[in-house]
Amino acid sequence: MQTSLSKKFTLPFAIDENNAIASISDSSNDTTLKTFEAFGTFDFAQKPTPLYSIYRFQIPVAVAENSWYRLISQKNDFRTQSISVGTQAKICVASMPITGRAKIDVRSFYFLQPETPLQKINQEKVKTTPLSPQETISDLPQESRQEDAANLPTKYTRISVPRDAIKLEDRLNYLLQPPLESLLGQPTLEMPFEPFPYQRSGVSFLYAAHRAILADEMGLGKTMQAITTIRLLIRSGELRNILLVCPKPLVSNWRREFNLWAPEINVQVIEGAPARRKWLWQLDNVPVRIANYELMNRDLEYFDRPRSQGGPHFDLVVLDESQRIKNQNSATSRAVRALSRSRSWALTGTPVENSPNDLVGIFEFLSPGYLSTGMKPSAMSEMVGDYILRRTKDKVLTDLPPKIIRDANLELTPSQKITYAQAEEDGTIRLNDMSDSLTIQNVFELVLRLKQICNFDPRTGESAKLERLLADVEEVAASGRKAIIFSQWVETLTKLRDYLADYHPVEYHGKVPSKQRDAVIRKFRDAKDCHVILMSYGAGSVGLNLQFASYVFLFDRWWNPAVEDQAINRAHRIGAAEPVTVTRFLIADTIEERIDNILQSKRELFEEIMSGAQGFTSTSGMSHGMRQEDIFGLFNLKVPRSRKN
Amino acid sequence: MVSETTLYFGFLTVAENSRCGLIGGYLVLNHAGRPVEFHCTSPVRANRAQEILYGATLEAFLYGEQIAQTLVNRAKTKPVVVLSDMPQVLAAQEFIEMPLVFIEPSSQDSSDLKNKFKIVSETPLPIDFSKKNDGENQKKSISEILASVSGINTSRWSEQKIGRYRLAAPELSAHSAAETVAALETVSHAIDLAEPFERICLAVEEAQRAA
Repeated sequence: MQTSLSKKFTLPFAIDENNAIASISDSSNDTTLKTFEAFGTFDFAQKPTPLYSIYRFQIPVAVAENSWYRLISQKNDFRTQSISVGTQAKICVASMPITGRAKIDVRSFYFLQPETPLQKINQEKVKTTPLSPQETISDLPQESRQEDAANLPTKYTRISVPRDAIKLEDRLNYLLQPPLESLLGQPTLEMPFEPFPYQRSGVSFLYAAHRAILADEMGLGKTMQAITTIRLLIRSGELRNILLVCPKPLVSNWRREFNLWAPEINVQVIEGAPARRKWLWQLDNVPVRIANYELMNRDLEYFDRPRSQGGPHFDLVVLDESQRIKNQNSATSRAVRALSRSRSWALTGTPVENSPNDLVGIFEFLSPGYLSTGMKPSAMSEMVGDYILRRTKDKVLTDLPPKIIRDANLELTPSQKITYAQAEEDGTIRLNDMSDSLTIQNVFELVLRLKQICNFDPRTGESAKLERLLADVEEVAASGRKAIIFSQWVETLTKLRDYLADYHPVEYHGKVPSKQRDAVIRKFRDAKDCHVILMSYGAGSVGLNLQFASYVFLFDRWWNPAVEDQAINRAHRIGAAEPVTVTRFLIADTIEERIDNILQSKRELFEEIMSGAQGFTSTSGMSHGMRQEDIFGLFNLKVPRSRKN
Repeated sequence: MVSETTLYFGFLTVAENSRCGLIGGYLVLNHAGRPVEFHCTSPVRANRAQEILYGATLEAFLYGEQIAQTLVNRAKTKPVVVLSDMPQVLAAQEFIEMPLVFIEPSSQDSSDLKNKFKIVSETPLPIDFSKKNDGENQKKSISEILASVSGINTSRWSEQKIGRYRLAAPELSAHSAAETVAALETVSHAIDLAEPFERICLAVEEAQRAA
């Protein structure tokens, strides 16, 4: 029995008359709640507008009086918006967003009463019939129709108008766009989590930007902000062909994040044999492709051709961890700059690692020639302000549990002291004897040697750090928590693995094959008796979400505190439920302390350059790495004239 | 095969520039709230003859006939309904076929609007939005607000409510007030009915700055 409708109104949405609309018949006199199944398969590949549409379902059912129901589909990623049915209503109408999937098989729906668990009440095979565009939703009770309107936000985030948008027409176009709350709140745009206000600002910043650096501190969700902006721009038709370049270990992470934040967007990773990669570079029907830095130079011949000669062109190229191209003379930098593109975004928590020239390198990708090497930091700061957005956790994530830094200043064991003193004396004498033939590699070798002695005495195996670590990890395990231990050497991690065997450690470093790494992370997260993960800075410092770990130990220190911050932020990031305690081991009166002092003194330079960036107020631990002069200076050596640039 | 029936919604407001007069802005949105068309007028100011000729109905003439009619008729896209946050604009109903709805934003929106302009403008805003829904209007019923404007046959409009907004929808031979409200309700989940006026104000301000 078709329910007659008293008022009619033209539906404003696209209707697929062939197969998208279904209705249940003859249930209006039945007082039991109904579910139904076998709507059939909706093949949206046939649709001329593939991105999304909203479909309305007419579902005549009998319902309890004055009840409100939520209609949801079987799949979590395919929910309808909330609907309601009131007294006397013999029809409910649900909007169902279809978001770009080529084929969706909807088999059953459930009615969910508020405050009751999800229950599948009954099933009934139904006939699929089209709903006329002239049918109505006006029989819905007044209060239900007003529900959405009443829940609208009162404050809006506007899309930022970029300063380089000169034409009035372009500026008006940005000003007239809906606010982000509207764009993100559309029923067809499911968000797994409500974005933070600062993340909406980040999306607003990127949305209109053709050249931008999102330089938020690690853990603030640069990935989410980039994906959400891409999602919105794809939906608005402004982007169709996007390339994301990231370090190889992060490819799977990006794929996961796309699946979470934009499940309707097809993502293709460029990988495999050369012939396959060549084909993937030429694809034009996949909105997002992911490549890794390592293959950019290898694949240069596949994309370094003008559009007119069939070379690929991208509406947007996003570089994740863009500090990878800070050296503009590197092959990787040259390769990414060869990409034909309309928009260029760079994501990095450390836009300046070693010197202001790092930023020049990134800008060579964004806007070649805009900055030049040797510019004064203050002048650079002024020029880059419009293009960089940087926020720090302490300013925007006031709800994030605190990060407690403990510097464990230790002394070498007596045996280590002897070995260390001998090595330093011998090494320094040797370096001095080398005179003009001295290279930075020679100094570096000594530094590494001394740092290794600070970890473990090669003669006796003694370690002041190990003693302290064992005591701390015992406490971590006793409390049922988990710890990440970082070192720059796999050899050190291997030794620690043996000493920490009682805590069932897992390892994540360069010698663990890429294919096994996801399983390692899963084990660390899920196995209750696995309290420790041993990580190298190189493999584990970026892109991983380990917020279930409450302790981080830096067994030895990296050359660049920015990398240490990246490492610490694996645990201290959005989603962390507990304070994160970071223990930084440092051996007094050794090379470790001298390096630390130099790095500390460089923080101010970063602050000066970044002071012009939008949103920037604090560096929160950001600093520079070591330069050639610094490394020579560790042993009071001067850079030989022949080594100076 | 897909049959697409897209509805459009018009938003029209008028700002006053103390130096040169009234400036109208008109924005047409699709059902998702995306802009489809935008027009704004040059500043309009009544001459002495018009002041004498129209007397008490001068505002209705300027807002309705001169500005609203011109903007709506100039647009290529025909919306199903045009909303305005200024009651004087309803005088244009005589000249346009689609329903012209007055919407009264909440007081918070009104003050936010003014505050927003202080933030976005580096220099004092030449446009005065204080005439828009001032606090006095907030206390009045919709019919009282409409009655305060001379030159409009207010009996056609009936008070309605969608979400937190009070509005007045006209009873026209081709469109009942209930149909008009139903049309607005279909998009009320996607469009905050008062929000587009902010966009118009920002755009008008930008256009004036560029002029």
